[in-house]
Amino acid sequence: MTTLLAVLALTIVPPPIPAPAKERPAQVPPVQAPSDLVPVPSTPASPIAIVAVQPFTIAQPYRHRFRKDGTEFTSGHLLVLRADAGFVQPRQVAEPVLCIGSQTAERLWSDPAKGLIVAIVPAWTERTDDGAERPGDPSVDLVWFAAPELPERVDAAWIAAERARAEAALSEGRLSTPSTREIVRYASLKVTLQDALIARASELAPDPAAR
Amino acid sequence: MRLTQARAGGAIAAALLSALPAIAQCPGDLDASGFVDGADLAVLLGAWGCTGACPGDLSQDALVDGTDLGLMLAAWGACPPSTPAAEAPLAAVALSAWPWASWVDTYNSNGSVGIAIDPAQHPDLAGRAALLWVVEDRSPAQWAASSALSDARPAGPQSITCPPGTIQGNVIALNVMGLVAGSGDAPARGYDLVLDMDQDGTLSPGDLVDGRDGGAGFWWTRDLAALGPYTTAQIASHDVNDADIIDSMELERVYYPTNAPGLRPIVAISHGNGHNYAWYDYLGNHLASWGFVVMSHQNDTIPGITSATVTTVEHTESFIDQHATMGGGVLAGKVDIDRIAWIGHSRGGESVTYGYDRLFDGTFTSPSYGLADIKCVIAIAPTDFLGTASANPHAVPYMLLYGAADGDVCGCPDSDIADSFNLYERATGLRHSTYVHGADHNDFNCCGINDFAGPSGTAIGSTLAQGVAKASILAMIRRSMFDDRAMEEFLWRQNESLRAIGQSSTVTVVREFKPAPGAASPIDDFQANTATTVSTSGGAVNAAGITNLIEALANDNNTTFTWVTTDPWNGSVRNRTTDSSRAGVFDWTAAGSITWSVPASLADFTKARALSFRAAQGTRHPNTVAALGDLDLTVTLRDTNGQERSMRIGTLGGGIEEPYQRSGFGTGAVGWQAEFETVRILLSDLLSGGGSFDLTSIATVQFRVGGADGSAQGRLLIDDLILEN
Repeated sequence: MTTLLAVLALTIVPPPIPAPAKERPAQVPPVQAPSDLVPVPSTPASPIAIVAVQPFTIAQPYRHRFRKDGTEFTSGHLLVLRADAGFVQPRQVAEPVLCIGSQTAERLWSDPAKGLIVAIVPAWTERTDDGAERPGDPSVDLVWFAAPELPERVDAAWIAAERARAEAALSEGRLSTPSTREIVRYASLKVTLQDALIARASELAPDPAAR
Repeated sequence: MRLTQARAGGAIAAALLSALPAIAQCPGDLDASGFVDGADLAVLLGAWGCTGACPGDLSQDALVDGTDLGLMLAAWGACPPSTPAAEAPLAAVALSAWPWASWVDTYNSNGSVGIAIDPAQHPDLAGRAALLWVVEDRSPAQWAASSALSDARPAGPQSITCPPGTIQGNVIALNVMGLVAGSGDAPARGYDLVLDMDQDGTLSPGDLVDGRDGGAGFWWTRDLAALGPYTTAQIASHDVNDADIIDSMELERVYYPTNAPGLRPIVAISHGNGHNYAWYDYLGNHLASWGFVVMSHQNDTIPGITSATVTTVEHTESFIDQHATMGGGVLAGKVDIDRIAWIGHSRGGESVTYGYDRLFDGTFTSPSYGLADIKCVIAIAPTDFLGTASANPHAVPYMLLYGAADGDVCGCPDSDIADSFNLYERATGLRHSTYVHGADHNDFNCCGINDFAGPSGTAIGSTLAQGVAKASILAMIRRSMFDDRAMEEFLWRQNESLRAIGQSSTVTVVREFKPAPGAASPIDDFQANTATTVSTSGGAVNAAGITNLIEALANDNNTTFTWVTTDPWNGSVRNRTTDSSRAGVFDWTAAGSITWSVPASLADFTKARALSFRAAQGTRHPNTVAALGDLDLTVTLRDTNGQERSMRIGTLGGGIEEPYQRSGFGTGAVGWQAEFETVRILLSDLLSGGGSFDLTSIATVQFRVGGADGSAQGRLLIDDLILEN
């Protein structure tokens, strides 16, 4: 048995394995273009323009996920904004929160290349100088990007503080209002289900690829 | 009988050589009769005065004389019962310095396997011929049931000569022709090695065996970065229509193997903010080809992490509940719902971590799965919005994959939210990180924005980055889900020493690995006994010649990476103030050392497989800037008899990695976040060269720096000096 195995076995003694030399990258990687990710702009800041607005009512209550309290609403506005890329590009760290009046807006779609955002804002009320209340209106009320934060962590107190900061900036000339409001103002929309509202919002996105 | 040597040496030599195994077991029994008796004495006396290789030279001093007679008379009578074949490491890689070989277990199938038989540890074998067998991996019970050898190679067993002299330069190449790599789902196939000294085709006394007592002698491994054994298909889009998920986030894409037998584990992928569930085809197809059913889902990241976590946990539930019917029922009866891995990217990386925390806390429960079903969590550049209590992996096996040129979740010092390693440091179970130089945030998906923020000329691009991702993620999932030990070395060996076959050699990868607490005994992990003079394990710690040694919470305390003495943890963006991961740090410009006294309870190092620690260079410290390279140092173990063994860590693959030369958050010198790298020294390697060094009674572990012991200067963060079982 032993002899047989010896005959069958390889008779060439392999050479020793040399110890490896320390490896270093063998090639210089190609130069990559500088980052396209625009730094987070300072806030408060205004969008460049409000491109379109459409009031709506909805029978099926819509939960507002862009606030901590997650309240439900049955009326509000769809709107399309144009803004600097820094406000439109999605990023992983905190993004400036889009606020309108005393509300946060839900970002439905964004198109960084065109600087467009399609959003839903629940109805809110504004107090007039004489103390009366009137419905909030994106056509006339303050629209701004507030400090970077996760919308789901934002509450009424936070919005109020950010609004005060924005109004101070406005009065001091550090914040401008959108240059254009409502290039298009659509007739009020009345829908029953959320799907219909979302579908309509998607039609407002000028570029299907952004939907 | 070895014919060639018998011819060369004559009849007596032939008889003697045939008896060599017996002699090894019973010195003096020259005729292998089982007795040391008059016949043996006759042989010895017949060779009296013989010099060189002579029968009867029991002392192996090349002279047959009174010394040999004394040895024979001391052994006179019946030989002791024969001992079984000895378990001994054989498979090894050659090293360029002492210990000249490292007896690791995992080898790529496009490379080689070394066989290291240390003449100093096996003096009885030196210069002797043997047959080297490669046997399909057997369990201890299988070895006990059969000692017959069967070689897995077409050419059969390999004839070798055990090298004489020293181990240096004497690592033999194993003939790997015809060896099959991988086995079904498993990328690696295990083989045991037998050094058959008596060449009888059985594992018998006097032989050496590597792999009999558990595990394999070595693992022969397919390319982890390449597609696996199965063909794959895809359900491009499935709407779960789940009331717990908002309507706009209900889509899933599913990748699955079409020809894999049995139940297949689940991998769920949660994308990041502004990302898309269809952006991970590379990972879905890869893992499906290795036998996993992969589900990538829409993730509700824009409101935040809480909303994203809802989609993570609910999509997992929906997939389990609906898999049997989706895609026309192609997955019916094919999904293992008790084995789940979660992978998340950026905000999704935090959502999978928080999802696990919610299962842990009981704030989310599902009738379809529970905490024990989540076998591992993998976060790719996760955010840390939620902080210590919630973005917490607890004890689940946890992996962090990160690109050093990430321009989004940047590891910046001015915000904890962008510091991915905070999550990693909170993981208390088995954990691993893969840190990839030149990769940016969106290199780990197909289509995200270019966010590269590294120095010009260092970008590696998505193809190379995803090659690293595919290999390391597969290794981690298999290690944690199946206890696949063949994969573990891909998680801790230096990238210079082992990487997937298809992973580019041009990419610098820095790895950390820490076993679960039950598999580790800390000598000093800096978490207790917080004085620099006392280790976690209670032993004294003495520093000499080094400077600025402190231990504390390893947390960069300001908003820049510029080196200032008031921020000794500069670059360690791995903790919030509410976290608790402590470490040590010191620097040197001359020879120095830190010495840990080993408590008696830990002194027997033979109970462990490895001594390991992790270290990172101090970001932008003047010594780091001056060194501008990998840092080397010497680890010395001293036993209670004063015997020492010392190893340069650079021998294992380059030392502590040179920091990625990224600029920003400061002026002057460059460098980015701390790149902790694990150094794992196999204790068997320290026996190289033989001698009286006693691993059963280790008195001290010492790091020697500067002078002749390593880099002339440097600054190191150190942590987790542990014995790994």
